[in-house]
Amino acid sequence: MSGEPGTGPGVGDRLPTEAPAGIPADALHRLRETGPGGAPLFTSDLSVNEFLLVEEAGFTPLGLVMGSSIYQIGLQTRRWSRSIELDKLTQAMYTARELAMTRMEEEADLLGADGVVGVRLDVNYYEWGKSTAEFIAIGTAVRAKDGSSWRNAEGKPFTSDLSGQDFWTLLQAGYAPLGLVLGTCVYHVAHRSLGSTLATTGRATELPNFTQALYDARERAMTRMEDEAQRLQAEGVVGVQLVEKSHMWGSHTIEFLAIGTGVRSLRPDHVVPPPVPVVSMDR
Amino acid sequence: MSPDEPAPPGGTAADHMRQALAVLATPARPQASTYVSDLLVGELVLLDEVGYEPVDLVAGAGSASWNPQIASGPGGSDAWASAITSAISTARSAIDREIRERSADGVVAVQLHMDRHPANVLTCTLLGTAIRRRAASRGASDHGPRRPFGTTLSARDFHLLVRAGYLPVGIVTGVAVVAFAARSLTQGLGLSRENRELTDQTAALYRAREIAMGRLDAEARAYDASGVVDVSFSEHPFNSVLVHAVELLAIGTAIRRGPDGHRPILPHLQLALDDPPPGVFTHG
Repeated sequence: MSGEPGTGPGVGDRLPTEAPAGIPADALHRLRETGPGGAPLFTSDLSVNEFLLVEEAGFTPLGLVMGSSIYQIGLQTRRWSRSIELDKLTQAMYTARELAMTRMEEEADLLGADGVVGVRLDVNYYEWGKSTAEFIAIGTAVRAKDGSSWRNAEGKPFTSDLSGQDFWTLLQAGYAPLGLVLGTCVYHVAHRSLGSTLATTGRATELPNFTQALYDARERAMTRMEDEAQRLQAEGVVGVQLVEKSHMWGSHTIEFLAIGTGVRSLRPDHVVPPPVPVVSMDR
Repeated sequence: MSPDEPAPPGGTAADHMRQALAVLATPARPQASTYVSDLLVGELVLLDEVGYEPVDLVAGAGSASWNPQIASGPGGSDAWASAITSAISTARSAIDREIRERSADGVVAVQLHMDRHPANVLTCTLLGTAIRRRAASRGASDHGPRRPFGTTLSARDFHLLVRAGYLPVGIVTGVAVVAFAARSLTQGLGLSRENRELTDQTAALYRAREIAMGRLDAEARAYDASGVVDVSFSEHPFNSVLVHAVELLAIGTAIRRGPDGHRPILPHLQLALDDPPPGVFTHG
């Protein structure tokens, strides 16, 4: 354990010498050392459970891949009393994530990966950047042990935010992940007018404009996610999460983010051995 | 009943009982084979299952100090990163020493604590349970002194790895610091109200993250590892009038594949019949 960090040997020469746009030269250097032609060493943020299950599913982890983008989110004026989508902000949140994910996919490409599992999309804020945020995509690139191709309809490595456990189960059931699909919608929910606030004070009543606004925003985010899934020719989307967050905008501006993994069938039936029912005794 | 309390004279059955209780209440003298560990009972069994036994709690500490205000200057962020790296290395050497002193083979469930003190002093502590391969399960290939291994993995994960034909070789870290002069950042932002990527900042932070991962890889190579699992990332922002900086730390466990390669663990599908805890309508 007392070993000092040394510089690794083996610089591959099968990789391009120029990094694709947006990827730092240090990434190229790192991926070259572990990628095709280099000395194989995988790095992964998978837990031991996940790592063993990914191996069990017939894949070898190749390394951590990452994409990052610091994005200035523009300003858009909102009307106090009108519920409306803030398309400029939607655009910013979508583009920044796409930039980060594309860079991550390019890193995976450099490693010769078939896919990326356990993808996490994070948004970081730093004190020095008002209305700027860092968007990060990070995951573990994997390659099929049997040499078969797992690329998706766009010719890219598949991406998935499923855990190692879900990935194994998905493959057991005869499905394959195609890509991480997401849809987003930043929505300004109108403030209520003084008159209507006073009129309903102390009464239990539905606030239709709030209901309608949140309903509409969620629907838009989910429809956009479904559109992405259709572009990938996915049969369905699993593990969808619907995240609502106000980020730096205050309480009446909310981002609705729908995110999931598009899947396709590997075989016509999806029969798995019947699961053994268990009752745990430690709860 | 306090063990110091003298038993009353006489020989009744109650007195004998009191004497016996007093003996039980006296703390046992630690023997050479007594181990101390923070492992759960189940974890002890799992360690035993793959032929290891706990030895003792072991710890190591290191510290560092640097000047963050000059970090945006040439070489400033590298000096910062190497100060942190050296604090971690010192802690690692210290815990290694403790492992060797107890003739243990390695340490599991290591926690890394980074404590920050005024005047920019960082102390770094590693704490874990030293374990030893039981004499009965030592094979012919186990002869000779080996470098003690370390891992952030729990005893449970250690068990699973060993069963699948791997062995942890060491805790690996990668540290990088990205620092901006405070003025350059606000200038860059300007008064623009448009959506745009801040390319300079993106490049700097992205690069620093890659460097941290590259350093983690380099440490794993120094261990001659097959890979690194359970990597986690943490970041620590630093803001002052002069400098805005972010410290990035990646930490994971380097593992080596055994001579037989990956042994299938053949998991079964299970359906837990436990109801989830009631969670509906709990938000009020």
